[in-house]
Amino acid sequence: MYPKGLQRRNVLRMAAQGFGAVALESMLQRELGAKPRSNPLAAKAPHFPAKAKSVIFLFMVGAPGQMDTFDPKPGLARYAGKPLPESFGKISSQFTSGDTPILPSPWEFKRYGQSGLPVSSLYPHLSKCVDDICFVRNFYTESVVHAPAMYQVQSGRILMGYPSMGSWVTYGLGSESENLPAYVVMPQPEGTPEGGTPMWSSGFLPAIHQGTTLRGGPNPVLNLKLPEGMTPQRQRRTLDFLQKMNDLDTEETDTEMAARISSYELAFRMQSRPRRWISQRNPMRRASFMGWIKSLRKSLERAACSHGVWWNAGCVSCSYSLVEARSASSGTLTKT
Amino acid sequence: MCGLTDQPIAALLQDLKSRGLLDSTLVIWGSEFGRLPMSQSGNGRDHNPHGFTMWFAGGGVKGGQAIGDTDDFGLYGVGDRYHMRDFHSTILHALGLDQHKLWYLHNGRHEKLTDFGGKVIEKVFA
Repeated sequence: MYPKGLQRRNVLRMAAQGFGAVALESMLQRELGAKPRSNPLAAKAPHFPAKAKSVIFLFMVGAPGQMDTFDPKPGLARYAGKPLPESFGKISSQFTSGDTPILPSPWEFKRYGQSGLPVSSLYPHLSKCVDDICFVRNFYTESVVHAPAMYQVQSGRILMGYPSMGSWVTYGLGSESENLPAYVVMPQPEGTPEGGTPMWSSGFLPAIHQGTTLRGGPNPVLNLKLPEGMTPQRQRRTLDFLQKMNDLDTEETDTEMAARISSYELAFRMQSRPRRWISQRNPMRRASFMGWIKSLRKSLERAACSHGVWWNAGCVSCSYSLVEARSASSGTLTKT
Repeated sequence: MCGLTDQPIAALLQDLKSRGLLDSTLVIWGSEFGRLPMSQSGNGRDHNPHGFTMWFAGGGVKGGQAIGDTDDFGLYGVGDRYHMRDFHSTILHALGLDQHKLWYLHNGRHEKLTDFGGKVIEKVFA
């Protein structure tokens, strides 16, 4: 019934293999035609000459009071225990409605440096640096609630989901360093701030621009250490294979995937040169704020050649704590 | 906690300076808002977004100055008050970025960090 060589079984086999061949050809073509991935964090020229190459944002989570730190208000002592003058109108905040008495600052202010700028007794060391500091005393935000106000400071909007400053900056400038994250977030030793990860989100910008969290302890980046038995060479081969597979099946518009691949590659470079970004003998000493700041400075020093590096350092420094410090003598603790 | 941050932040500024890094590093200190002049629960203070201090040091900053003021009670900012848009545009400016040129097309809109724009606080810089 069938001509010789065209048996039913052979037709099926050839057809099946034929489909395989078509698929193989397509895959080979895609591989041959696959463009090398461009570095989404390649350094870009600024719009005009920059004054600064890196930024360290010491974000004092929780809000220290201006009249207790850098903005002395002697008027408070004169009105101590009295209500706010009626001319101010009705003041409502998150927990109070303006009918509580004026509270003078318990901290003494003195003038420091050649500039003679006032600093409270909370900062005996920082007060020596005033000649390097420019205070801006009349910033305002639009929310009396911590998290939305944090989002506004970090991303310009009181809602979460918008790109944070560090994301915008790495989007605008890229990074000259290939072996370090361009945008680093170091949460305070006690944990992440109330606003959480949306504070260093890339929002609708490509995901590569989100902040990289460095945790305290011996593993600042989770899963960065090679598992036992895995050599760098084997890790490289695995990543190369993974990269090939990803190249075959990744849409260029898939920024989540691009960010993930870029993270793998950056992690590999950080594994290869751990001392370039943090000393193995001196892991992130974050049990104390001093250790935390030392780690920050050390990392920055290692990244000194980088352009557009953004360090977002969140730390606790709030009225709650201020009250806590004061409560040692007064015996009460107010949590706000 | 303010006390705990005192020595480390002072050390950071001094270290950056002694290593010649402060000139190229913009250090910013600030929070999400300030505190009210009135009391809360006796000896605390409630949240005050109407006027509060943030500071800059390093990269291009003219140190040893205080810009702007709050009223006699530290409640409201007076004169030229600065919104977070102004804060952001000032930082972008220090990094050589024009707030209006730094945009990303999202849902058909040219999205920017400062939305419709902030004013760069020129006085911050030397």
